[in-house]
Amino acid sequence: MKLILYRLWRIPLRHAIWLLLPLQVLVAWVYYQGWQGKRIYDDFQAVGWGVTPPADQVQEMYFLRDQLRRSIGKMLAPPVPSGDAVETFGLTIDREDLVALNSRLPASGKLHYYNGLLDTKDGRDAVEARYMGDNHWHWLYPHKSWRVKTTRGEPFRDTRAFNLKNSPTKLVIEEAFISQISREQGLLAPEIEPVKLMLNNAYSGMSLFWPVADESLLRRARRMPGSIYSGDGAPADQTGVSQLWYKSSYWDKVASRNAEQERYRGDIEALVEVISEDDPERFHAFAERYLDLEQFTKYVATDRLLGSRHHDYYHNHKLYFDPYKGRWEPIMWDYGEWTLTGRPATFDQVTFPLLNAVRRHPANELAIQRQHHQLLTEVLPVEEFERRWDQWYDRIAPALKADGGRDYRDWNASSMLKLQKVHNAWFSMGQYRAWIAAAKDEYGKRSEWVLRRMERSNLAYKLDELSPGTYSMHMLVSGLVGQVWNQLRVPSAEGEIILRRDRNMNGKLDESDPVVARAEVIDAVAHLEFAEELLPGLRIEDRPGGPSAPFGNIQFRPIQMRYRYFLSAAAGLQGELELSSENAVTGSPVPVAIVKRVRPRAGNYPYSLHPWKLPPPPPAEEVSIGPGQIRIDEDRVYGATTTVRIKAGTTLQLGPKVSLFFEGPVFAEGSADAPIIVEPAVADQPWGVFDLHGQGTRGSRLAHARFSGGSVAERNLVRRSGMVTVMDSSDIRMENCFFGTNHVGDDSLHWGYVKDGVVVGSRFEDARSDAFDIDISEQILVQDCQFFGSINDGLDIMTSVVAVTDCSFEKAGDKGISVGEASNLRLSTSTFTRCVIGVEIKDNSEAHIDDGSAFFSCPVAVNLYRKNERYSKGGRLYAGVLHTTDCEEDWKADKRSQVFITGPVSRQPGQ
Amino acid sequence: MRLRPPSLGFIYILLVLAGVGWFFTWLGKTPWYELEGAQKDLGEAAYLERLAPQMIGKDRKDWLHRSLGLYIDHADWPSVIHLLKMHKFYDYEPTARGIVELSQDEVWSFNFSADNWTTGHQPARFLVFNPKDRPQQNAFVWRTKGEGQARVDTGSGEWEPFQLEGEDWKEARVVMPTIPAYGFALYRFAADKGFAFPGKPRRLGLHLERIEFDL
Repeated sequence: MKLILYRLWRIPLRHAIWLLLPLQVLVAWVYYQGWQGKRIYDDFQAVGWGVTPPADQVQEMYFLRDQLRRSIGKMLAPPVPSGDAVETFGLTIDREDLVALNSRLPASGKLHYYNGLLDTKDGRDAVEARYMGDNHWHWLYPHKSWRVKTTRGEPFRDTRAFNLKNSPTKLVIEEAFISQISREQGLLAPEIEPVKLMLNNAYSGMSLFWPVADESLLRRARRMPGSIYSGDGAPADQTGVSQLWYKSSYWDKVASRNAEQERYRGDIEALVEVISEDDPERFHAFAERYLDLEQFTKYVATDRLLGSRHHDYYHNHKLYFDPYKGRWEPIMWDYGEWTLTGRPATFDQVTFPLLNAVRRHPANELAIQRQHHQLLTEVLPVEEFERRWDQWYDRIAPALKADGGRDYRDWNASSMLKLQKVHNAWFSMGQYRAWIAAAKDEYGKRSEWVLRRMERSNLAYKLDELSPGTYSMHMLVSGLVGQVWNQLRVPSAEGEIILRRDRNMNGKLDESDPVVARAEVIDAVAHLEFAEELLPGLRIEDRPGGPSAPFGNIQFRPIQMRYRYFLSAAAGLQGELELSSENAVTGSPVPVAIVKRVRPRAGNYPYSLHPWKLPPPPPAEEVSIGPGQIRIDEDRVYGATTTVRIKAGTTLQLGPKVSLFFEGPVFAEGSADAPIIVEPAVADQPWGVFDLHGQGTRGSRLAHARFSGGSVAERNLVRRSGMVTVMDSSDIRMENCFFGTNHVGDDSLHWGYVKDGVVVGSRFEDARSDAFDIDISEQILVQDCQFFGSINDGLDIMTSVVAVTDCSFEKAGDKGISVGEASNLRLSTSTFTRCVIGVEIKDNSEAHIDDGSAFFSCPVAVNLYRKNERYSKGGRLYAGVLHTTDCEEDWKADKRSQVFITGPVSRQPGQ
Repeated sequence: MRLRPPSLGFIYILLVLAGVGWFFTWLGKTPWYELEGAQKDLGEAAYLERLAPQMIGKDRKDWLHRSLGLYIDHADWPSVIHLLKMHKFYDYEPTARGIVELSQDEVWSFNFSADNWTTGHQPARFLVFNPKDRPQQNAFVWRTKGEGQARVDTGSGEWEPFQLEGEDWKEARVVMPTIPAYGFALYRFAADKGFAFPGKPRRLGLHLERIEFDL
């Protein structure tokens, strides 16, 4: 020992240098790593956001620590798990191409797509790939975000383009979580899933598989392909606010219904125009007609749920215009980091002009609050939030642990160190668990806060005697949430008590003031029961910190709204009124106070539109048409509150291009002896359409109705291509009807978005193209119908679930039945005679054909293939015995299709 | 046996081990931006104070303001005074936490209105610096039209009452404890009760007439 110490004491310098070389190399390596990390970061300061701070040892330390932790993390990372719950995506790119991608970032990363191969559990696909993302966290660090395109005609899981994103957020899978919640609510949202990305066989880390929002998304989500606009950045004007919502040209059209519609922008122009006009009444009318308020409500409530700050005046918006419903629907896209600690006064972390316009009508704000409440109490209560996070953690932890280079946007240190842009720093699994625990804790606190705040609803009233026996009740509604005033006890000696609403807001009791409730005085008191929605309003104030391009220039605060009622009590009041009102969101009782005077507004006026300023909804009415011959020379529109009854024995002769539009229920119930006939008033001059549109038409019935000579029409940005069209409806029944030749358009009968519909005992004859077109519908039964002589298909099904029973298809110019785009057909005891193709099954659709169905003299009885390039698969046929007679081919299928025939093909020669 | 002096190699080993030890200790130290509370804030304040002189324009001003605010929040008065001097050097108005310079380089007030009135019974704070190389004693002279009961905190955190005397306007001269050379003190003054004064939109407390320096 002594000797060793002595030798150490006298060790020559060169030996000491060699002895400590590993230690010196280690320090040099650590320092170099840190320096390198900072250098890479500094090199891109030119594209940063702020100014470069002067160098300081704290910054050196920050980068050194980060690089050291990264290196240790990579060294200690366990092997990449296999067989875990996170799927593996293997991306192979030529090394030279990788060098080219990295050569001059960020431009080089996005300039070109490079050929590659994608290996997944589905097999190997040829793809093209490049880096993606405007922000540096997508391309500056070792784990890149990729944009992948499949080769034309070879979609991957029914999508042609997708991203593999390196999530820069602390919780990593927030977007997947939101995607799940959104889709459960029926919102349009891409199916985001975590995957393990292997780049050239080396683990690149956990990425998010994120399909782009295009036509494929619409198809997968069972929506009719239509316009998708992307609002992603627009400059600010002199007010300092982004002009995205004020100029339609800033919206890029990324999908359209068809090639002809690619340049059409009438839909987005109309939307942006009505937002910029700032006319609440006009916007309300527009929203009622063109905005899917239910979907929009869910979208905003989901934003409120976890505090999205990403859907703002400036970017991250995708809007879809449904060409069948004629309504705008938001796409949940790029939710961004959650702001669970945020406590905004009226729940929105950020807002944007469309939301401002929607909230201006208090009923819409109430609908959003109700949806928000439902999310908090039913869909994602605190315990469910925690359960889901536990599930997610169990699922992704092995893949995340193996990702030694996992990192997150370190806003905290970056902002305190005044770095020019946010740095992505490494994190440990311990930190990750702590962040999840913090998110659970914050979600609990936020939920409690929101639910407590939703109890804020107050009612005060002032009673004035206007004349003997007539009183004015001034109702003052304040708080954040509306209420339903549902009871009034009026002490009086005798007679009838009547409560009226000052609907015209003139402060006077007049004939046009509708009666809310009336009741007789019994035992010195009258009990009135009703349900009057009393909603508070919103006022605007300047945004603290001034105008901002992404966050606008205003913010909202609740404000009192006032409603006046008149009470008639001939014998006068003999005591105090008793009112009962309940919170319109939570159902809790609302405290009611009496006030002696109503203070003037003192310059503080509501931004909200008073609900009574809108025209009252039209009263429900019934219109009867016929019997006899009636000529109609102008379009007729029957609103949603109008029930139309067309009597048996009515013949409607419609002038050229004249259409009948129904938004309420239609009962056209003829009889065998006295059918209802709809025909052209002028021979060879086709009329327009017989159109049932919207959920108001639910329950409509057509029987013994004969349609011929109709064509097409366009109304409210929706083109009706069927002579008889039913859109966005349910519980529809057509019985013993006749659909003859149509003109101009495609279909004799066209259904879209119909749920629970029946067509029975009807005949389709000589359709110009398809006889009966069913799109995106379910629970549809076609029974005992005859399809004869269609120029194209007898029955054309797209993205629908249909049962066809006891039908005959004869002389179809193309297919007897076309089953396309993820449809499901159950066919029983039906026959196909002299159709070019009996049944065609394509694009991820399936058909179950029972033993009772038969094909006669069809060149091809059943044809299966992949037609639309957006689908990965062809058709699937399930049958027991396939009966064909005089058919050239019983069935044929391409390589993407599958045929499951369990019995023999019963083939008969021709007669 | 005579112990021979260590070789250059041994000294090298010691130096390298010490250097490596220092390096990893430095690296392993939790940096201020990962701490919580006062340590984090004061770390950030010192960082900004260090970096600001190398910046130009708005950033330098913003960083100095923020640094000053953080020092005030955590009552680091020597640093506050240094930051106030830096503000003066760069000709920036110190705006953090409502600070106003009442007497050049010597007295600054917080939450004190521009017309030298305290508001109602709310206290006003004063930071006093002694720029001289000898101890200094100062006095604050207050007037009021209110009831005259007031209180002062001379830096201990405890309130001590004092009385303003007079017929219509009442007055008091409050002599403060001695401040050592280059030292500083933080005082609080408040009226016990506010009063309404014609033409003033708010209730008033005490009016600062003057500060008498170096008694």
